[in-house]
Amino acid sequence: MPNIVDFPLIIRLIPTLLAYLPMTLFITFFSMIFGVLIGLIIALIKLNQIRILSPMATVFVSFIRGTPLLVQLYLSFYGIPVMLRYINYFYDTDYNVNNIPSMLFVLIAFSFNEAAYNSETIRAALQSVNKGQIEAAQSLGMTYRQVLQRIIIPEAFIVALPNFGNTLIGLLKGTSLAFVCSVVEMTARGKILAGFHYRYFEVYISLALIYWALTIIIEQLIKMAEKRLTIPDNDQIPNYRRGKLL
Amino acid sequence: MISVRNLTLYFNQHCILNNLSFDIQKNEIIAIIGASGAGKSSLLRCLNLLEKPQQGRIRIGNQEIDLAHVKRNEIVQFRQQSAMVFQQFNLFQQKNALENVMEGLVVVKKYSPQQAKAIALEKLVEVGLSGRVYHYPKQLSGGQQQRVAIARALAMNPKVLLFDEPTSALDPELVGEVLMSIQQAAKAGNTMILVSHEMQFVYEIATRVLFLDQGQIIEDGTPEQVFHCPVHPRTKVFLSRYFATLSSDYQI
Ligand SMILES: Nc1ncnc2c1ncn2[C@@H]1O[C@H](COP(=O)(O)OP(=O)(O)O)[C@@H](O)[C@H]1O
Ligand SMILES: [Mg+2]
Repeated sequence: MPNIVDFPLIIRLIPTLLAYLPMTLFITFFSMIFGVLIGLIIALIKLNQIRILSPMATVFVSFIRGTPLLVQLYLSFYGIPVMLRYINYFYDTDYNVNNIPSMLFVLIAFSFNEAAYNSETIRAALQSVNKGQIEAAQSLGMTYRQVLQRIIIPEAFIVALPNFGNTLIGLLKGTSLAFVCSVVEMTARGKILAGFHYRYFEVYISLALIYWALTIIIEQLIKMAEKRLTIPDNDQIPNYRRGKLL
Repeated sequence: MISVRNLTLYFNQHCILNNLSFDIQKNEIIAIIGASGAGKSSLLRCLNLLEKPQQGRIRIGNQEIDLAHVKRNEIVQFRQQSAMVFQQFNLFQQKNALENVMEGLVVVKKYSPQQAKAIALEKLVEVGLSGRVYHYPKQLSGGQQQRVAIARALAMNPKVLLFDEPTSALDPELVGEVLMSIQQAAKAGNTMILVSHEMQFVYEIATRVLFLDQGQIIEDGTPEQVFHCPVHPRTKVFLSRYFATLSSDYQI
C-alpha cells in the first residue's frame, strides 16, 4: 500500500508541536486577562454613561465586531509602527520602530478584540446583579467602588463565567493567526514543520487534535469552576466553602 | 437625636414627600403606618440617602446634612448613622450568614476579621441563628434570611434602625420569629423606625405612631391616641378599613 498518509508521523509531530504550546497559552492567557480587564472598564464606562468615553466605547466595540480578527492583527502590526513614527515626529522622540517585540502587536490585537466582545458579556452580567443587594451594601456605608468590588463583581463573574469560557476557547483557536505578526506559536511551528517534511495533512491533523484536546480541557475546567462557585440549594452542606473569608 | 426639616422628595415632578419636619428622641420606637403609596418606604430611604431628596435637612446624632448640597463622601458617612432592614431581605447571595453580617464591619468600619467575626457571631446568636452561621441566603427560609438582615443591621451599631415592612414578604407562619427579633432589638434600647402593617405588633411595641398620607404626616401620637382617637378623618378611614379586613378574615 502506498504511503498516502504517514500515520506514525501524526503521532511523532505532536510532542514537537507541543513544545510551542507554552507560546500559545501565553498569548491566550494574557490576552484573556487584559481582555477581561479592558472589557470591564468599557462596560463600566457604558453603564455609567460617562461623557465622551461612552460613545467612543460604542464605536470601538462596533468596529471590532465589524472587522475580521486577521485584519485587526494586520492593523496592529502595521499601525503601531506608524503611530510610533508620528510620535517620534511630533514629540521629537527617538523610539526605534524596528525594535518593537512582535508579541506586543499580537497581545494588543487579541486583548482589544477580546475586550470588545467581553464588554457586552460583562455589561449584561453587571446589570443582572439584583438591585436590592446593591442598595443593602450602599446602606451599610460602602462606597461605589467597594460595592463594585465586593458585591457586584463577584456575583457578575459567576453569571459571566460560561461566556468567558466560550470566548476563551475562541481566543485559543484565534491565536493560530498570530503568525501574521511573525510570532511563532503552535500553528506557525506546524507550518514550518509541514514545509520541512512535505507532509501538510499530517501536521494539520496533529494540530487539530491538540486544539481539540485543549478545548475539551478548558470546557471541563470552566464546568468545574462553575460547579465550585455555585452555591447549592439544599442545606445539607452547611459548611460548604466554610472559612473562605476567615 | 434625629431631626428632619422640610424634607421634600420628588419623582419626576410628582411630590412624594411634602415638606416633612419631625424630631425623634433617643430610644423612641417610631412606627410609620399609612396606605400603600403614601411614601413610607421613600421616607425611610431618604433617611438612609438611598433616595436623594431635592430639599431639606436631616440630622442624625451629630451629623447634619443639607440635602440640596450634599457631597458624595458626606453621603457615605451619613449612611453609617442608620441601618436598614429591607422588605426583600437583600442579603448578599454570594456570602453566607456570617459573611453577610461581617461585611459592613470589615469593609466600612475597618474591623479586623477576628473582631468582625466575634461581633457577627454574637448578633447571629441574638437573632437565634447560631446554627445557621455558614448557610447561604438561598439555603435559609425567608424568616431566617430576614433575621440575618436584622443581625447585619444591629452589628453596625447604628444610631437608628430602619425597618421597611420587614415581614410583608414572609409566609404567615414565619412572621412571628422576625417580629420577635425586632422586639428584642427594641428592648435592647435601640432607636427604631418601623414601617409595618402588623397593627397589633405596632400597637404593642411602638412608643409613637406616625400616620403618613400622600407624603405628609397627618397624625403623630402614642399608639393609644392614634388607634383609638385619631384626629384626622383619613386616619379614621384607613384604620376602619384595616380593621374591617381583619374581622372579615376572622369570620372565615
Ligand atoms: N423610583 C421611583 N420612581 C418613581 N416613583 C416612585 C419611585 N419609588 C416610589 N415611587 C412612587 O412614590 C410613591 C410612594 O412610594 P413608596 O414610598 O414606596 O410608598 P409606600 O412605601 O408607602 O407604599 C408611590 O406613588 C410610588 O409610585
Ligand atoms: Mg413601601
